[in-house]
Amino acid sequence: MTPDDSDKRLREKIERAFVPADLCITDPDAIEALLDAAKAEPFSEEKIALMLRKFKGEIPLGEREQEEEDPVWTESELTEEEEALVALHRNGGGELPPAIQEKLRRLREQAKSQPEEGETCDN
Amino acid sequence: MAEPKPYDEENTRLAIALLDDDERALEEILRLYGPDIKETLYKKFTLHLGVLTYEDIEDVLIIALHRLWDARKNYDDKKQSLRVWFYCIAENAARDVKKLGWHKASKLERHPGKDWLEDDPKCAAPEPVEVEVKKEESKEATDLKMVVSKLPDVQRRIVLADSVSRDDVASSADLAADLGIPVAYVKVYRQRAMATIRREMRKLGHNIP
Repeated sequence: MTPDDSDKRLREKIERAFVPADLCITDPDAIEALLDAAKAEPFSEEKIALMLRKFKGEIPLGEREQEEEDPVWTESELTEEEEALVALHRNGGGELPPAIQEKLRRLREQAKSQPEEGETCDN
Repeated sequence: MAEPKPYDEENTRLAIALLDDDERALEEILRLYGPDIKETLYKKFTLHLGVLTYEDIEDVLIIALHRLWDARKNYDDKKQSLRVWFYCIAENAARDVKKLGWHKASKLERHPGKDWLEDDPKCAAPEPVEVEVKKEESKEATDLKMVVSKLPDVQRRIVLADSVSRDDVASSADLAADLGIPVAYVKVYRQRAMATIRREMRKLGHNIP
């Protein structure tokens, strides 16, 4: 067996390890049953129109719109809460500046007035 | 004799429309069979292997629709239904997209009779085996999945993309673009990953090729 053959066999094993056996079938009747079991929702008219435009070559295949990247995080755009947390972290348990202490106090007050996780608001 | 199902009639009608070069049949095939095929391929290539996105699968269906049209004269309803044939073509198209990239995979559609036109999808079903052998294989598959899952993200993505590329590795250029790394790194990571898999699997007592 050549190194290429052994790589190929290993790749096949990897695919079979990740894909359940019921998706690795070749028998037409079994494929028929697999597709019956999918019970997918029909495509919407918009989807069909879009796919037909792709079929006609009006829209290229495989091209995806770039997702908008998260804005770069800067300290100048911190919320009051984030600013207080940064100060706490940097301070490492030491005395905090009075302005930050005041912000923390307000945040604690706010936290006390809010329900705990899992608590309902209607009791 | 079994009663003909409405499904058989639909299959015959669409097959005749294709043989009559009626392009409207393609839209109907897409509407009728597309959703279940897309869902099934999504399970395999997206949920289990993570090598294609939901949108990718949609584009794979478009390539498959082109291929089905080009090869319509070869359709044999005694071998399989149109729906199964479309599924097999789409399954192979998905593999070609990983092996060759979108551009080359979609160009293949204009050359009917090439290796993409196979009667069966390339995911070979395991032959029936003895219970003991099956147990061993199952343990090997479980360990292999664990070893591959523990690879660094980039290496794992390369190995999984390779695993579905028909008879060859995935397009290094496409992988490099997807992963945001130079092509040369893809080749290095691929070798490193395969070496790691073999080493770890041997440590676990498996005789890996």
